[in-house]
Amino acid sequence: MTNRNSSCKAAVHQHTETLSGTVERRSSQSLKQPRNLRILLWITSIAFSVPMKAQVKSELPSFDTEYRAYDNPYECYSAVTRIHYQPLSRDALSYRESAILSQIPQEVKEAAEKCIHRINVDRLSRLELIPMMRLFLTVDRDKDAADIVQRLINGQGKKIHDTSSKSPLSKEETLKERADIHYVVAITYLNAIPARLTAALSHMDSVAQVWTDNRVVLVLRYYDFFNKARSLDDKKSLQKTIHQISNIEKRMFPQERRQMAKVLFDVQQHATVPARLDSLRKSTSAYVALQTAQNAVYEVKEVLLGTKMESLQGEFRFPASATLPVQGKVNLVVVPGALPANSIFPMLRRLKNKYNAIEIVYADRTTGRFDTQLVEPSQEAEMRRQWVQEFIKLPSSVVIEKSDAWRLPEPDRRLIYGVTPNIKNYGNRIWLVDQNGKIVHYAAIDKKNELEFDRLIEALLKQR
Amino acid sequence: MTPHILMLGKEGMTRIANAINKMTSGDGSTEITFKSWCRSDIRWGRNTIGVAEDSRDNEIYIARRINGAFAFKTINQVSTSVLKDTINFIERLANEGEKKSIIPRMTLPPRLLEIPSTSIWSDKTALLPLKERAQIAESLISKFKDRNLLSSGFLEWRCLEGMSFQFGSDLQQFGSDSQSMESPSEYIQHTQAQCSMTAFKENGDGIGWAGLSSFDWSAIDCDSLAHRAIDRCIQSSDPGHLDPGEYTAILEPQAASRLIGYLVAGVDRFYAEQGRTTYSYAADRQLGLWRTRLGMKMLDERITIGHDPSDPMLGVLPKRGLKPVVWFENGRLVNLAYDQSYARQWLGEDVANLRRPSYRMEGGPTSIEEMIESTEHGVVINDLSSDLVVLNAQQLIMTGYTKHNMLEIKGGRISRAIRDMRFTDSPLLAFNLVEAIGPAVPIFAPAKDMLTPAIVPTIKVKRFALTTSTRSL
Repeated sequence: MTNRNSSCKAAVHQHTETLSGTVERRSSQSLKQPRNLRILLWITSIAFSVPMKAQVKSELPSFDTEYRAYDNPYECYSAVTRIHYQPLSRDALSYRESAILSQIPQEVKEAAEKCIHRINVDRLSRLELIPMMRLFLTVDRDKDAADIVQRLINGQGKKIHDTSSKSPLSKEETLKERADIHYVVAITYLNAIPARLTAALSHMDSVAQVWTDNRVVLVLRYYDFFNKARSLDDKKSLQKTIHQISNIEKRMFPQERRQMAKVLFDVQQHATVPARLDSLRKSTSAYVALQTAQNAVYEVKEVLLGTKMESLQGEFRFPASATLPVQGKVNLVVVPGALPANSIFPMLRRLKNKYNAIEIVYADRTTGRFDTQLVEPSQEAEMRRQWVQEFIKLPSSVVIEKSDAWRLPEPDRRLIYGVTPNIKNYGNRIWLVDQNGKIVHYAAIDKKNELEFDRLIEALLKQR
Repeated sequence: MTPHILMLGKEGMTRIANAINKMTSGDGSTEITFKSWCRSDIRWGRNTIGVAEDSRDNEIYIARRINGAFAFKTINQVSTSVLKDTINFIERLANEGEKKSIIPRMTLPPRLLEIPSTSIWSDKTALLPLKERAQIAESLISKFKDRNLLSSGFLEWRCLEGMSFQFGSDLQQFGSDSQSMESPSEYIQHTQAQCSMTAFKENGDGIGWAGLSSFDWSAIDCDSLAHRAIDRCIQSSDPGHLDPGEYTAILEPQAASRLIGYLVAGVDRFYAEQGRTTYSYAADRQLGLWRTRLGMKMLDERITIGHDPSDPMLGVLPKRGLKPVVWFENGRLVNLAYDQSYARQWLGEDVANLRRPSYRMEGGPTSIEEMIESTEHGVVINDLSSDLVVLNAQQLIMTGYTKHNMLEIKGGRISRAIRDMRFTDSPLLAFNLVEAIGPAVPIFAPAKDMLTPAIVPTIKVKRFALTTSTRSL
């Protein structure tokens, strides 16, 4: 902000110097003019000369300008930027391209129209393209927008890169710059104008030819096109998108596939909720088979799903001699490990209240201390039980492992706790276990997972 | 002993705190902290006393926690009407404020460690009559006048008392233990005195500074400080320039303390074990933690730095768990500081080893005269600027200026005065190149609302890097 203001001031200062030089030369020829007149001249000259100044990229406007009342290119550019970034008031444009096509107040359209006339297209940089594209779409001048894109890509005026950079771009850099422009255009068209999906896809294809090391991003973007084409029932675009996705996936390295799997895992989880829940209502095995099939494409298998959860270890059990997880019941097993579980207790209480048939199991370990005191393991285990069952008031079974620690030699003397079996196998997770002791689902200790557990428990309890 | 009739005193604070507690609505918890202080100072410039100040105030911080909402106010009046209005105001704020849900925490009464007794109160400092204070300043000024020197100086006497109370608790107590969760009230009172003066010539050629601070005014010998300032002023007349380079430097206690202060301030075990300080050694990838330099030799083997709270010259504000500690023993780092919480988590102990601002560096047998005689070419540095800039926190490389003109030594004698220069060096480097250590003496280290006494010797080091001359100064 400061830089922008200072560059503005510098530009004005430069103007002042030029103008004052002109005025002084005149004054030597004619009568000496009063000071007020000079200032008036100076202001008038600035007002008339601003369109030229606006073409210089470094002169960015103040963001404080009220864009509806602008009358010089600085404010004009400010209007563009504000329209792009700040959905401030009822008459400002939304950041989202799709919203641009909804009703736009007339005064905003007028402001955008004026801006378009005042900015030289051939001098636009790639960064400036994004707001300008939106601006053209705002005033329904799709043809002009396409024209700008073509002029930028062809490098008319050689302004596709930053004008402040004096060194010429190499061939490779130029290709990358053009690919970036294609990418901006493709995404803008994709989100703003459904009718131009074919054009957007052709721009995306140009990107794909250059972005050979960004396959994961490319595939994810093509998925957007795929969804859009499906919603529009555009069979040609749909076919083209599928073809591109399969082509790129074939070229993927294993590492990229794993990365892709991580990204898509959540998407699939959400996209296939009804199918998953149906399969779980049928049986745990059907659910696990569906999960495995979905993930097999990307070489990631949820090996723990469907396997039988081992009996939880622990010297201290409440109730005593209980085998946990409890057979014949749906179990929700919390193994905090190194992470605090305080935030999920309300969620666990709610689930228990809703589905009284489930068994909540809290598996922890001793650490030699409780709150502000050092305590013996048996005492600590009892305190942890009281904390969960009586203080937090969570109806649950508690199992506490006694963890052994060893000391670093003098003078360090730090205690190092070993990893206990429960934490090694199941630490830092919540586990959903079915009536037969098979693992159905697991998630991080996070209260955001409540809805998912809720659905799964409901489906699990309906199993025949 | 309460020095001034307007200071509240322990009984007064207790009485007011109980009264405040009765004025509250009774819900939630109340926290009250008192700070009652008085101070006098005299300052002079160009041999003329300019300002003599005598001020006092009572600060009462009152905070209320009601159902998770928190509000507080600080006042300095103790009349019943003001206290009532304040409590009403705070409770209104708390009731109207945002109610945060109290995170359930099952808590146990903490084990309270012992409070050590430290020497921080002196009747001599607190009760020195006003007239006597003025006479001291006048007698000091006359000494400078006798030598045709100008002087400026600052004398200050402070006394402070404080006490905190807590009534009620938002925490839910575990079990049926009858021990109260309310933290016990602790009364602290301390004094602090400082005396510093600068002598300079009319034409500005020479400058000499001397100063000392202590909780006890009787431990400050003002006359000898004045003589030291005068001697140094005469020695540092007509300062010349010295080329930048590495010189043998005799760091007088005040200068040495500026560097040692950084070593003592960083002795924190928690941060060292995160790899963030000069005491971090390396990451242990096997165990997934950072190793520290504990047990390693970091400084010259003649250097031992530690602190004993019972030392009458090193009195600090008493804290629970403060115990004698040695940070460096014969140059080896033997201890790092940690609190009770760290001790429980990482050491399985309940005893803290607290950090403190005060320290004693053990002295050596060599006098400053012997150091000068044994120096072929070097400098004597009286003081370093207090705002040193640390360039590298891991290696403690820092830069700053020397102060009050240096003295150049040639052939075992002081040859001339030198203008101040910029230095760029590290205590870790300098205190590994020690040639001799002198007897340790108290230094000038006053601080507001706390006590930071230190005892530091004169240290002679080799290859101290003076990097730039300061002609413009």
